Amino acid sequence: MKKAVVLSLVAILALSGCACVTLKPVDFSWSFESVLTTDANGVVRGEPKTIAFAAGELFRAETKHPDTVADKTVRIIRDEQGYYFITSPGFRHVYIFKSADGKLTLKKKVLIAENGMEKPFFNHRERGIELVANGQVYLLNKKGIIPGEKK
Amino acid sequence: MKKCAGLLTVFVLLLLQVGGVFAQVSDYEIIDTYKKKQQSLMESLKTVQDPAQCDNLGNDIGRLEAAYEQHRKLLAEGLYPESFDASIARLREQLKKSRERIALAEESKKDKEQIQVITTKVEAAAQKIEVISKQNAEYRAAVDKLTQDVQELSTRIQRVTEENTGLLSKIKALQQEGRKDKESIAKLRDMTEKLNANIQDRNQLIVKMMDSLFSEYAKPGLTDAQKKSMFVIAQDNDYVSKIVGTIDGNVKYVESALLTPQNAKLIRDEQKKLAAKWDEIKPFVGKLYPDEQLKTRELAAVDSRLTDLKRSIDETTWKSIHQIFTAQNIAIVPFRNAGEFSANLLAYIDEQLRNPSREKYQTFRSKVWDSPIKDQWLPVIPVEELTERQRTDIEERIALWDKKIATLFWRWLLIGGAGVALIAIVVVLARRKKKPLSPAGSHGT
Repeated sequence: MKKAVVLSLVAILALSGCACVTLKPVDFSWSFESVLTTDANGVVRGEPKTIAFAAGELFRAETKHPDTVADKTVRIIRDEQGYYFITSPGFRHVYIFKSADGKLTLKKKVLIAENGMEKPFFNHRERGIELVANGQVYLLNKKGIIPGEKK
Repeated sequence: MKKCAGLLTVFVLLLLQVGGVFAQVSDYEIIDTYKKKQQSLMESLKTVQDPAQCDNLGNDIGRLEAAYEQHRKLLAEGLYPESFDASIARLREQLKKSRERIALAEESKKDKEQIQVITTKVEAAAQKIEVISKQNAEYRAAVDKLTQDVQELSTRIQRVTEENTGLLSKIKALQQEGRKDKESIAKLRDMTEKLNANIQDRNQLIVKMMDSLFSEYAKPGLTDAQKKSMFVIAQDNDYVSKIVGTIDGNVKYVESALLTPQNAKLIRDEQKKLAAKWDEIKPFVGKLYPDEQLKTRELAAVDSRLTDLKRSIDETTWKSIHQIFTAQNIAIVPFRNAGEFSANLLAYIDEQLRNPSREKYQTFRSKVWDSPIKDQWLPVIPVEELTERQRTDIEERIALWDKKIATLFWRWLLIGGAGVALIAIVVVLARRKKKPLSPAGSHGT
């Protein structure tokens, strides 16, 4: 009993007294992708308390005629480590972002198809994020395509 | 062909091995499709109106569950906070509710139909009540009028009956006085004519009373209460007694004196009318009486009176006919019916044939048979009563009598003629003997 009280006091003191507490392990992954649609400003909004960001920059980078960014489909999924994998039908790349202070920072831009992808989608898999596009299945992580996992 | 089929089988097996029917499908799409299908099913279940459709939707739920069973884990994530099982259970719960709702609706529909049927029946009943009320009002008016009519007729019958009683007494008194002066004869004739007229009038009144009551009674759809009120009218007006009284009056009239052929015809016709009318209304009269004993007694009273009347008319008719023979001193054995009349008359003629008398024959023929029997009485007697055969027999027998009298007449005429001729010869001869011989005669010798 005494031992338990002492341990509790130590834990309380440790939590309140230290500013750089790390909680782990954390699984940031989404069980399945979100399929969002850009608004007039190219902003996509997930369900409440998930994510919202301006996706216009991606469309401008991927499309030859980036005049309009409205009403575009954006497919997004997050892996265990918290990286966001983003793409859209017609994109040539999958964009891998890391979240930072109020922004998403590009970690990796993975070329999938020079001529663009038709109906791409993500699935969450144990070993990474599965991308299916143009009849091909890719397994991705934050570094890009996991070698030997393209089918 | 076999090779083709083999390849196809291998291909399908390969597909199933790689990822089943959902190979290379977005998890998102699986969840989304499931959600849409589940939502669609839920909407269908909420709006379903038919038990058969419920069965189909129940099968759809089963198929949906079977198809997405393999994605139970994924769907648990996608449907969070609801699980796959819970979403399927929610569909099944909705199916149950829908079945209950449909059952309730059907019950309600049946209730509505039943209410409609009852409403229709109530409306029909209301209409019927209205019709019956109207009929009742008409019936009450008819009964009021009938009561009035019957009372009026009853009063008139009573008055005529009293008058007839008085007339009968006076006629009897006059007959007993046996006065033969013109004034008395005229008075008697007038009273008799008045009595005849009254008899006829009263019979007509009683027939009218019978008709008026029973034309109402014979109307279809009379209720027990209405029949009862008619019975009350009949009883209040002493209905059956009036009929009996009228027939009794007729019997008295018939028995009061000998009938003339005209009176006999009149009273016979009246008797037939009364009997026919009685036969017609007797079943209705029977229905008037709630008491079986009273009914039997009253009906029997009328039946008996009608029989008495007929017998009385027959007897008086034949008595009156016999009186015609008696008045002319024709000794014929009395008869009470057509059979006896025929037999006794033939016996009388046969007797006359054995000992024919011209005088009796002439009296019989001219003062009895030719008139009034043949020309006045026989037309009154129906052929059902005195048959054609009997009439022919009598005529033939009278013709025989006539022939016999004629023969007798000629015989006597011949004898008379011969006698006269003989006398004439004797006289002539006698005269010749008494006459002296003339000198010339002596001179001649």
